[in-house]
Amino acid sequence: MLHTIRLFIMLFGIWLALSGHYTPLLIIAGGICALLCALISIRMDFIDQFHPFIKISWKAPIYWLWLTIEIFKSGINVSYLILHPRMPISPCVDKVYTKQKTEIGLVTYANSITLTPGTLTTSLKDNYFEIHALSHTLMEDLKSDEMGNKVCELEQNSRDEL
Amino acid sequence: MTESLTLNILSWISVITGCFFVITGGLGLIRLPDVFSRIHAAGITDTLGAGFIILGLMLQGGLSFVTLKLALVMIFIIFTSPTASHALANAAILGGQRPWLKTAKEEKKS
Amino acid sequence: MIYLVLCAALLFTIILGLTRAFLGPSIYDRVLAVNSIGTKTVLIIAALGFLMGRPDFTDIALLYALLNFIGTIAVLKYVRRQQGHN
Repeated sequence: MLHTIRLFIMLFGIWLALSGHYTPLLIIAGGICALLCALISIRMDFIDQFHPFIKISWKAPIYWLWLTIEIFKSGINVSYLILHPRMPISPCVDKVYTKQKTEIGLVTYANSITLTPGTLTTSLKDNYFEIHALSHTLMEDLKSDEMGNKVCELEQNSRDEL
Repeated sequence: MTESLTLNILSWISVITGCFFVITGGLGLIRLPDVFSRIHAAGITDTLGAGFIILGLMLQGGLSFVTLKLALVMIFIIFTSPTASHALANAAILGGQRPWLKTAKEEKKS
Repeated sequence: MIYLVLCAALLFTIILGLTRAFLGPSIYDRVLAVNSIGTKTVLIIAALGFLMGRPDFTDIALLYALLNFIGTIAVLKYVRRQQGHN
């Protein structure tokens, strides 16, 4: 019940933020739409799984900033590989072992890997990911496990706050 | 006045950088040898290209509803792009595609 | 001016993507090309809104970003079922 109310407030807030017209008719219409969505999602039975998504650790913005810089660096790297006339790429496939315990941590790690240009998660196994990388240097960067450690820290942090 | 000029110049720089990355991604889509490496090229347009272009447009929009909506577009792209890439790579593996790896002979030649 | 440059660059890249969609040896290349064209369409809609002085277009861009993702996933799901993986 609490989740449904929270979802309703979130949806109504998004409606108010995006609509830009504040006449009574449109506000009431938005309220009805948000209520219907919240009621339907009870039947869809996924609110409980969605729960931890809302709890975000205070360290997350720092991680996102670091990730942006990382994306920029490897983006430059991959652009060089593509634009070079002879294309000095050396694609490789390898395993990267994971230490994250929660699902949210694993999803964050996999998405961060895929979001960084040049590395791509192709499948998820019990305790490792299969990674396709565009060159050996990019793969070695990933294998140094800096990103994995940061995600672990983030995960630890958000669990303490729960 | 000078403030708006600075903003204009910043948004020009940002949009031009975004265009560079978008075109790089497009060229990579044509040049690279197999599906998996092409996904990397598409990833560049999705993250860096779209990011810089939307940053430039946000600087043009100023503080308004438009900027908020552009930020939401960027958030959606950032959340959906890795999921789509992963689904594509996984489907390609299950569909029997094998990654193109440099063979020893070609390594010697280059 | 800035928007014209942006639209030209995006249209050029869409042509490159279309070439890949025509050439693509496997179905996955085509899906990838279409997904990539969709992202560029989102950007072009946003830029056109500024170019024509009607910033309401960003709403449509927002919607298209979501539809693009759902479309890609739906096509992939269909392809996988065709091949017999649940």
